[in-house]
Amino acid sequence: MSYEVAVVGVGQTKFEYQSKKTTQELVFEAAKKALDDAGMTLEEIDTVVYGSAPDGFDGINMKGEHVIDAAGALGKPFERVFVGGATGALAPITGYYHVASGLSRATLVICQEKMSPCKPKPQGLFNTIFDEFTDRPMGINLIYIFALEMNRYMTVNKIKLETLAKVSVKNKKNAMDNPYAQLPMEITVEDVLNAPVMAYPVTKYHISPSSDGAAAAVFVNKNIAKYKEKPVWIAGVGWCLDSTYWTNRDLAYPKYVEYAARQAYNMAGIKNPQKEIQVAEPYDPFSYKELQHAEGLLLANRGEGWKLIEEGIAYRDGKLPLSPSGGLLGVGNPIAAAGMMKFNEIVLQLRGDAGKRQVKNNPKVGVVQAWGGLMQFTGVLVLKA
Amino acid sequence: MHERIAIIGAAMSPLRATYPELSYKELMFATVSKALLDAGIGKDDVDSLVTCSDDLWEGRSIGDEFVPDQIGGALKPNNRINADGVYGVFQAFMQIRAKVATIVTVVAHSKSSDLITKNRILNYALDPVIERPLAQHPYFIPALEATRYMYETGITPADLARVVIKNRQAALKNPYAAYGAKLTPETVQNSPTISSPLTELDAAYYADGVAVVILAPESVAKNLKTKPVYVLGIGWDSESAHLGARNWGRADYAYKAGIRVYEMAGIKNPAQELDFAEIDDRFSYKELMHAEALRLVPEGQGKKVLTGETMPINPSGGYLGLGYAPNAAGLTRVVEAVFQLRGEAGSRQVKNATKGLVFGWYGPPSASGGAVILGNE
Repeated sequence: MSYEVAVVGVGQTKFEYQSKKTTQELVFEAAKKALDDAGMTLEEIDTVVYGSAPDGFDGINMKGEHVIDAAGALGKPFERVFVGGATGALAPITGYYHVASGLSRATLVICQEKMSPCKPKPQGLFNTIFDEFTDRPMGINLIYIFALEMNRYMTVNKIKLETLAKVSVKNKKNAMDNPYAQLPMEITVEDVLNAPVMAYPVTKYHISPSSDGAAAAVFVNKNIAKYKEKPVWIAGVGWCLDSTYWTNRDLAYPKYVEYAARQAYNMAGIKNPQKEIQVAEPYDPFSYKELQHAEGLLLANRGEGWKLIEEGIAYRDGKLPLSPSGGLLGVGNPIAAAGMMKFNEIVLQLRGDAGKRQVKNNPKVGVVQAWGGLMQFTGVLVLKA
Repeated sequence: MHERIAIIGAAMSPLRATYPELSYKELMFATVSKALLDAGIGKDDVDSLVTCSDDLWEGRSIGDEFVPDQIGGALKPNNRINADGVYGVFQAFMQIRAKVATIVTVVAHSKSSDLITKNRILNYALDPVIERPLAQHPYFIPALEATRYMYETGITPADLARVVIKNRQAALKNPYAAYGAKLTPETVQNSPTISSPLTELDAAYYADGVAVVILAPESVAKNLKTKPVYVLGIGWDSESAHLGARNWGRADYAYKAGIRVYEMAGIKNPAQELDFAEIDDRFSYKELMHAEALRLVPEGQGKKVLTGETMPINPSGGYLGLGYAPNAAGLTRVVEAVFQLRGEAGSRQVKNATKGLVFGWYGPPSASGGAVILGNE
């Protein structure tokens, strides 16, 4: 048998560039807020899962060992999950199986990133994620390869830049209602198109910023959840890693996202995601990613992700709101913490606690996704009120 | 009652100072293939994969990107933990119990011979402001720990030398070991000091290697030809890595991991109930310290490991004899324990072994480690 798992507390820090808080302070703040939200103390926590991406950002090896105190993990089973950008989903998935296996009654999951210590720009570090012989010498970084992928996605599906710009406009506007957001703004499609080009077709507003921040949640089993108000249940989890050889892959459609989504939907008993999912936080480090991931999550037919934005479905008052938090484009992208922020947003939306960000369709089922690696890794969680 | 979980396949590459003829990818492919063959299953039977690695040891960021193809993991669930390889077994165990996967492959690898700046990498694990400037050599932390431990227990440098001699001698019987040797106390104690009181031979040498285990529930294991080895308990713990906040004379993390693993495995008196132990000996003193913390010997009597009054401890030769493959280390010992419990350990076989303990430590400067108890009944 496996145990049912509920989320009973969430918390996060402000996402910002060059935060004055240390890595440990960010971890502590998010963890404390999540515990307070759950009405629990550290004594009730059995295990701690920490998610954080490249050690190179902090310039610290074995980064997890440095936050054990701040994470409240002293004298407890503790582990660090790190799978690139998908860490924000794999850390909660790992937290899920800690509790679902019965090994832990209550698990604290904390994701944190401090990108700004990496000089001159964090993006430079991303050169070191590439193959040292074939890719790195080209001076390649993430923006280049996503420009390639964005181009391919637009070409295959005949999508205009204006459509993708609307995603940026929506998410940055959604972030206006998020007190933790780094880049909330009201801009127009023209602003996005006319912004400085970073690597064509990616302009400055098509991409999420570098950020510092942390987000955390408390996972418990049914015996504890029954004493808590508004527990949100983890109904399904799925994750998938595709081949290292991204150059040999279909860049227009993320098959690995579909595999992860199908695993999570099967577990959650969801037959028709387009009908049953009421709110979603697909990973949106780039504007096109939100739509491409929505297709992978089977929230739109293949090649028809653009309809979600053009037909108004993805807005907060739409049928299937996407990134009501403001997403990575609006709230910020502290790698591991970004996915966790999205996870927390779905929890708040399902509880009806999202305040000004609350979507209008009274959702009971939501999905969250995070993504990373060489365009190859995705984790998906289905949550139910 | 939970269904029991078994290791259905295991393999490791012989540990060697260097594998110049194979890349880490080739070494992983070969070892995973061997483990699948050992289990009698194909790669498509595997539901989920777990790896343990660290970016700085890998020499690339997000190192897990580079593993799926050679381990049969492409387009499958993969998870990566930054820890000693023994933590991979915990993930597989929990995933199977949580019913998110049925058959899980755990892989940990090291190509440490590729690295020419190992000590700098270890120094990068220290606090950049307060601790890193102190570090002439990263082994100053184990050296301080050894000093305190020896002060508290009366263990002498000659005793530490005996640990080294014992383990490297045992490794002569192990075809997987890189550093089997017959040493004299003088050779060990007179070898160059790295950080007093530790000499060059008190620290395990690095090695290249890959270790793989495949786990499945008992119902699956029963239908396979390979003799299952059951995971009877898992337990791990983390204490502060900071110099000002740690317990220097005692391995608290091993003690607490021990409490958890013994409780799960239903073991009251580990010294009596276990038949052998494969515990971390990255440094000579660590074997004694860990043996105490894990209650294989009475408190303060680590020396008993050397007098033959205990169960066989590190019959494989330990890291001192096998070689230390960062991240893969603990998993190499799990594979060793599987060989012992299947009766496949050749001339190093422990007679009538039914239950064994494996303990892996994340290495300096951490105070984190995990334990597994395996059994064949």
